[in-house]
Amino acid sequence: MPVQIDLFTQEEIAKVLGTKDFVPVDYEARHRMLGGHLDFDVSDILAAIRHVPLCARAQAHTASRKRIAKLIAQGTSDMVSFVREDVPAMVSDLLLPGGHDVMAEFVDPCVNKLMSASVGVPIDLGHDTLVSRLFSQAMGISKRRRMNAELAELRRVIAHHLPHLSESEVGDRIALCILGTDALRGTLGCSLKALFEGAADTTEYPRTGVPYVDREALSSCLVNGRRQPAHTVVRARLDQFERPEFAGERNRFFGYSAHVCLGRKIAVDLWQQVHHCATRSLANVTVTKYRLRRDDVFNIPEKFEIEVAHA
Amino acid sequence: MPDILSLIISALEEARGAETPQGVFSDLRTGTDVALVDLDMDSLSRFEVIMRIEEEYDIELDEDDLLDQKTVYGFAAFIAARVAKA
Repeated sequence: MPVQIDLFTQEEIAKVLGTKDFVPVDYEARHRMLGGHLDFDVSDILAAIRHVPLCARAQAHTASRKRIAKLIAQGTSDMVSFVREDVPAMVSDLLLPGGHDVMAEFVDPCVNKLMSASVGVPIDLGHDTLVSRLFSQAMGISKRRRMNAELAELRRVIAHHLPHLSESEVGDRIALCILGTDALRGTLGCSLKALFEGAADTTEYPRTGVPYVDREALSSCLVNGRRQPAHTVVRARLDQFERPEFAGERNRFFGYSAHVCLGRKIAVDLWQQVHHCATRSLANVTVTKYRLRRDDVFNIPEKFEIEVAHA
Repeated sequence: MPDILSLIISALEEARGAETPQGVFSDLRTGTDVALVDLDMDSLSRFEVIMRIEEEYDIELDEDDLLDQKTVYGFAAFIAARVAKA
C-alpha cells in the first residue's frame, strides 16, 4: 500500500499542485482491476477517464485541459445568460415561504442547466447520479455497474443530439459532466447551508464540495519537511480554506496553477449571483434537515431541507 | 434466499479460505464471532464479498461498509438491517 500524507500548509499544497513532480493518482487502475477480476463491464468508465484532465499526466493532461477549456469557452455565453437571467428567479422561488428541498428545487436543476449550456445538449442528471464518482476508491460493484451504464447513456444522449461530433469530442463533453456535476453541486449545496446559517462571511464560496485533491510523487520527495519515497500519495486538504482566517482567499478551493479548476470563473459568478439574491431577500431561512452523502471524494448534501418565513 | 450470516461466511471463505487460519470458518458457523481484521482481507477480497452480497440481496454497498464493521457477526447484522430497509 502506498503511503498517504495529508497536506495542510498553503506552501506544501501550492508546491504539490504546482509542480510536475506530483501527478494525478491512477484513477483507472482500480476500475480496471475490479472489472477484470470480478468480470463486469467497465468499458465506458475507462473510456471516460481517458478524457478527464484530472486523470491525465504530462502532455496528455495539458492537451486535455486545452480541449475542456475550449468547450467551456464555447458555452460561456449561455452559462452567463443563465446565471444573470434565470438564477435570480430560481433563488426567489427557493425563498418563497414554506418548506423547500434545496437540492431538488435549486442545486440539481441549476447545475444541470449549466452543464447543458457547456456541453450543448440537454443534461438531466438525477440527484443520485454516479457520473462524477469515478474518482471513488470505495464505491462497491453495483454502483460501478450503474456508473458504467450512466456514462454509456450520457454518451448515447450526447451523440444523438450532436451526431456530427467525433468520438473524442463526445468524450470531452462527458468529461465536462464528470468534472462539473458533483463538484459544483457539492460546493453550491454546502455553501448555501453556510449562507443560510450566517456563516458566509464574504461573497466567496464559504465551503467546498471538493475537500481534497490527491497527487502521487513521481520520485522521492520532501513533504512536510520529511523525505518520502516515490509513489507516496499526498492529499492536498482544500477544505482547510473553509476556516475563518482564510476569508478573502477562498479561491484556493479551486486549486493552483496548471491544475486550477477550469470552471472557476462561471462557478464564482454563479455564487455571487446566488449570494446577492439570497442576502437581498427578506426571507428568514431555517435549515431543518441536512445530511451529507456518504462519499469518499465529494462533500455533497444528500438531504437538505429548509423552512422559509418572511418578516 | 440464504441466511445472511451463512452467505457472508460462505463469501468470506470463498475470498479468503486458503489464507485464513484453520478453524475460523467452522468457529463462525458454530457461534463464535471473529474479528474481520483477523481475516486479513485485501481490497480485492473485500470487493469479492461485497459483490456477492449485492447480487444476492439487490442492495448497493461501499467498501467502507465492510471496513466500518469490527466482526463478521456485526457485518451480518449491518447487512440484515440494510436488506430490511431495501
